Formats: sequence, structure tokens, C-alpha cells
Amino acid sequence: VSATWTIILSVLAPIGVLFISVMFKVFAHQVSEEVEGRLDQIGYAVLRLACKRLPVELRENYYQEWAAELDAHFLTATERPLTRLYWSLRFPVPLLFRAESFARIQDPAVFENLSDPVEQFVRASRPFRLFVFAGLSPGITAALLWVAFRDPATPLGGAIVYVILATLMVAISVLALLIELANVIAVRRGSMPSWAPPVGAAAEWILWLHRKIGDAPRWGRAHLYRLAGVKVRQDKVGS
Amino acid sequence: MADDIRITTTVATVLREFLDNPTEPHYGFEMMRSCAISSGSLYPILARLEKVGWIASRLEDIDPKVEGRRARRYYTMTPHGEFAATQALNRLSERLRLPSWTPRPSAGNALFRRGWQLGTAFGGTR
Repeated sequence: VSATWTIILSVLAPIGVLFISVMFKVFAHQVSEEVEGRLDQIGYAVLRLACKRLPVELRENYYQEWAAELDAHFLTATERPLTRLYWSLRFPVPLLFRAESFARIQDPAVFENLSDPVEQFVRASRPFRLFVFAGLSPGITAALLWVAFRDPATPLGGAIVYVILATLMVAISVLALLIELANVIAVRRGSMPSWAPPVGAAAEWILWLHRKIGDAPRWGRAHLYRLAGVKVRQDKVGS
Repeated sequence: MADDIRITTTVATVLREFLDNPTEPHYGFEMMRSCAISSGSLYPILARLEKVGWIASRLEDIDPKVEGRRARRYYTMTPHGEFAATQALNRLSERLRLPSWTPRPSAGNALFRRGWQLGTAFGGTR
């Protein structure tokens, strides 16, 4: 390399580095702006999910009503993005579990007019199915991976991790199913099944935990009660 | 009508917020923050209170295009609700009041109370 090139490169290199660093900074800023803008949308998305649990005719009204709260919050919010995100999630996430109980008080007629009990049951059991699916799918995936990648030279090959994972996940899924079964039987009989004390206890524990985290298992117990013809005490404020 | 409502601490907190200024309209998000309860608890309470006529709700009268946001639902306490809520909170506070014979701890650190010195529980420092 000649002396001339050395001089040119020694001038151009810092300029190039500066240019790249500026470009990187600009790009990072754009990405951060983009992410910040999208963060605000998460609250609305969760709200949409919460409203999905309502009968079709109520969804839009409730969404508009609750989205108005988020609108007003974002218009006046002066907090940093993460704090804003916290509050925008703090509002809709509990509604995922309680939107229906609110709507049942506000618009009881709509719920009474839901004539098809199967549709009611399917809608009410959606979170259960998600739960079971969430439990089962990693198990199934892990089992498939094990089948695909097992080493024929050894009994389990390098897939032992997948086997353990699959066993664990399937066990969790089976437990979840048993708890659900125990739950349904408990609702039908009015007491926890004596044939499965550990499962009954686990179900009770989970129900207790759910009650503690905001009456989450309202996920459809009301529908199950209705389907089973079990009379339950009328809800009162704060119960 | 008050018998239709069970006054739990959460309900009492909401009522207290309304009673601070009964004529002032409140909206959900603001109440969630000021009462420090989740929206999942707040909205069913508001719905029940509205059902028994303690509060009334109305949709904000704004032009969303001008304001740049959707119309919020405002909740205001009714005169009946003001009366009933005051009575309910009174009853609750009566029920929760400490009995007269309860040994009440005096203010301050136990170490500085008469008779209690450092190491009293172990025979005193002297």
C-alpha cells in the first residue's frame, strides 16, 4: 500500500466509522420509536382478547367503552414507556377474567338469550382448552422431536432431554385434565370427588389460587352450574 | 336495598372514593388507580352499585374526532346512593371498631415505652 493510500485511508476510516455509528444511532432510535409506538397497542390487543370472551353482540360496545379509558390514559400519560405499558396492561388484563361477570350484571338479558348450551359451554371452556393445549403441545412436540432425532446407537440417544420434557409436559397435561374432570364432577355432585382425593385437593387448591388472583375460574363455572342444574347462591357485590 | 349489597373492603373503598365528592363524576381507569384495585374487581362492583341505584352512569358527551379519543363512561353517585353508602360505611366502621377493653399499644417503639428497656425480656440491662 502506497503512502498516498495510507493517508487517504487514515482520513476516510474515521469518517466511515463516524458515518456508520451515526447511521446505527439513527436506526436504533427509529427502532426504539417503533417499539414504543407498538407498546401502546398491546393494551388494546389484550382488551380485544378480553372482549372475545363476551357474546358477539356485546363485544364491540364493551371494547369501545374500555378502549376509551385507554385512549384517555394515553392522551394524558406523561410516564415513561415502560410505566405506561404497565398501566395499559394493568387495566385490561384483569378484564380477561372478569369481563364476563361485569357483562352479566350489565346485560343479563343477552346471556339469558344464549339459547345453545353447547355454544355456551364451548365458549366458557375456551381457557381450559387453551390451558390443556398449552400443556400438551410442548409434550407432543418434544415426543415428535425425540422420534425424529433419536440416536439408534443408544436406547435414548441424545434426545434424553426431550424425553424428560415430554414426560413432564404430558404429566402436567394429564394432571390438568384430571383437575378439570374432578372440577366438573365436583360441580355436578356438589362436592369434591372422594375417589380422587389428591386430584380433588389439587383442584381445590387451584380453585383457591384462582379465587385469590381475581376469581379467574369464573372461566365458565357459571355455565357448568347451569348445565348441571346446580343452584348457586346469587352473587353479591364484592363476592 | 342496602341488604342487596355486601360491603366488603373493596366495595367500601369504592364507596369511599365516591363519597369524597358525591357530585364528582368518576371513570373506571381513574378509580382503578385511586382505589388501588384491579379493573376486574372494580367493574363488577360498579355494575352492581349501578344496578341497585347507588350510582348512575352516563356516556361522555364529546365529539371523538375533535377530542381525539372515544367517549368515556362516567359514574356519579346518586342522592339515594350517597345516603345508603354513608349508612353502610357507618355500619361497617361500627362493626370494625376495636372493643373498649382491647389493650391498645401506645404509639412509638416498644423500647421507649415505660417499663420496657433494652433487654427487659432477658432480665434487664442492670
